[in-house]
Amino acid sequence: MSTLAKVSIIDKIEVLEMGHIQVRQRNAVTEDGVELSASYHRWSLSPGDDLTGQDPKVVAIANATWTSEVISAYQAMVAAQQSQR
Amino acid sequence: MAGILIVDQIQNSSNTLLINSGALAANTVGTTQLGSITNINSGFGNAMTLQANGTTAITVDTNQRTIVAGATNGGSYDSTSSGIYFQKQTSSAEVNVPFIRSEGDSTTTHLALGPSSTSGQLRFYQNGSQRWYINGSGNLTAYGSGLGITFNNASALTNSILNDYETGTWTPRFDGSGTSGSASYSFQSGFYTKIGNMVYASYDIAASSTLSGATGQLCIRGLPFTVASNTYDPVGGGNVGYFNSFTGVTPYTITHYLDASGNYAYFVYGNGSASTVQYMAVNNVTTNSRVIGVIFYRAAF
Repeated sequence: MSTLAKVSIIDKIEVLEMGHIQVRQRNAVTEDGVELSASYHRWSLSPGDDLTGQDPKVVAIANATWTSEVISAYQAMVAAQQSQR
Repeated sequence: MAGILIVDQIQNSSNTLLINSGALAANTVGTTQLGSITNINSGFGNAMTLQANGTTAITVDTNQRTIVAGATNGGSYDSTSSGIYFQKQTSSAEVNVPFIRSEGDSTTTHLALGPSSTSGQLRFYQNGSQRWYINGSGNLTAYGSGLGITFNNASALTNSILNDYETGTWTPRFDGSGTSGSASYSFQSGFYTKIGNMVYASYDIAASSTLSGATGQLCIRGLPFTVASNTYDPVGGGNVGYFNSFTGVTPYTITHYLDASGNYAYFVYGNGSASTVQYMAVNNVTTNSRVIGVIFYRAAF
C-alpha cells in the first residue's frame, strides 16, 4: 500500500524595494516519499498588512523590514495615487 | 593469420612500451584487437600517455583522476578534482581548460557532474560560478537570480532578458482600499502565469457573506506579485467577464484599475452618464456576489 502525502513549504520569500514581501509556497504531492507533482501558490504582502496566519519566517522578515518609516512611506505613496484620481 | 596478434617490436625505453601499429594493421580480418587487457600500468610516479604521430595526445596524470587531451603546452590544471581537460593550443601562459569536472572550482568554465546528494545534476560553470544546471527531473534550470535568455531583438533598441516564467495559483478576496475587512466565500480560485515581468492573473470568486469591516473602494486583493512601482505610469488593468448579485450599482461592464506598488485591483465601471470612471464600494458586495475576470499587469519582479 503506497502512501500519498502533500508537502507544503514556503520556498521563496522576496523583499521588494518598497517593503512588499512576495511569498511563494511550493505544494508537492509525494508517493512513498517520491515527488509525483508540484505547484506554486503565491501572495504578496504590503507594508503594514495583517500577518495573522503567515509563516513564522515571513513574520520575522516582515517585522524586521516593516519599520514605521517603511509603512509610512508606503501609505503615503498609496494616498498620493488615490489623490490623483 | 586471423585471430593472432603479431607484435614485431617491443621496446622498453624510458619507461615506454611501443607496439608497432603496422603489425596490428596487418590483421587479416581488418579489426585490431588487443585481447583482454585488465590493467595498463604506467608505473609508480609516471603519468600515462597515448601518443599520435609521435606527440602526446592524451595524458592520465599521476594524480590518477585527471585526463588531459592534447599536446602539452605548459598549461596547468587543478589536480585536486577529477576531470577531463583540454590543453590550450599554443600559449604556455594559458591554463588548460577543464571540460568536465566532478565538482566546480573557483575560476574556470566547465561542466560538472553533481554528487549523488543533488540527484545527479549536470552543472554548467562559467568563470568559476555556477550558472545553470539540469535538475534531477531533466529540466534546464537557472542557478541564482537574474539569469535568463537574451534574445537578439531586431525591433528593440536594447535586447531584453527573459529571466522568469512561472505558473501557479493565488487566492483572490474582496477587500477595501482603506481598512481591510473580511468575508466568507463559496469559492476562491485564482491562477497566474508570469512571463518576464508580465503577470496574467485570472480568478473566479463568489462571496457567501457581505464584506464586513472594510472601508473605501472595492478591491480584489491577494495578487500573486506586487505591481510595478512606476507611479502614474500605466502598470496594468483587467476585465471582468462575468458578474452578478452586487447591490447599489448598475454597471454596464466592470474593469480593473491598479495602483502602482500595490497588490490589489480596483473594480471600476462606467455608468453611462458620468464622464469619469466609477469605483465600486465595499458595500456593493452581497452574500451572493460573484465575479470572474482577468488582470494583466507589470510586476515589480
